[in-house]
Amino acid sequence: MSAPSSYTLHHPKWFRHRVSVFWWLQKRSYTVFVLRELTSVFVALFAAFTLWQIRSAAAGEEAYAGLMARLGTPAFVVLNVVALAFLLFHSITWFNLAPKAMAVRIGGKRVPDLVIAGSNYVAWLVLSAAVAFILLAL
Amino acid sequence: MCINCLLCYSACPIIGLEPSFIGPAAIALARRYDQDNRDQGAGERLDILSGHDGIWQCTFVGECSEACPKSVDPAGAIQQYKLTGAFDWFRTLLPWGER
Repeated sequence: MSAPSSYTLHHPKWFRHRVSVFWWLQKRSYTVFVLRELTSVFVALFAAFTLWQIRSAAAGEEAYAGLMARLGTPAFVVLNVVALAFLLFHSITWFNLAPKAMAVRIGGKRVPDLVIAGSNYVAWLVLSAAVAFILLAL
Repeated sequence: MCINCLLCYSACPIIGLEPSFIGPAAIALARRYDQDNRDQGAGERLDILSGHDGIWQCTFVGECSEACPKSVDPAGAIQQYKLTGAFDWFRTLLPWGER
């Protein structure tokens, strides 16, 4: 079934298939793509958790202990485990795609994909280690 | 080298959902001219491509490059354009920026 032809700026007229609302279920790679887009919700959730943590840390020891007790309840633990899984999926898929967007040329030669993805992973590890150090050692 | 088969347009879900999207092959071709040092139209193309119907409609599904029989990699070209577009926009914010 094709949509009625319409006139737009860059496509004066053309044949077009109507796309189903469930287009993302038709192919595995489309589903993976939609899941990757959904990970942004969990990224926002993690950011909100971190802000909440900072806020209660600033409010004093009692508030922080209260927050920790609340985050220790099964519902929050499950939510955080799911969020962590989505976050890892988000980071790994985006790092693997980074070389596509960054065509860096040094001395006329394109930097290999592995170097660009690898430097992202190294930065990720270094920053994670720094955050872990701040949270655990201080 | 693109052979205009338009398989990338068939593979792209955005083409079906957003009728005004310029699409992968055309943007890949625009990118090809950007890298040709005899060409002077990069700014003009970027103005059109960073508009509503251009590169920002792309959500990087990546299927256009999967479908391409000639390994043109339109998905890569669009993402590189996004980087160029973003840098260009930042440049306009600077006091010594052009435009």
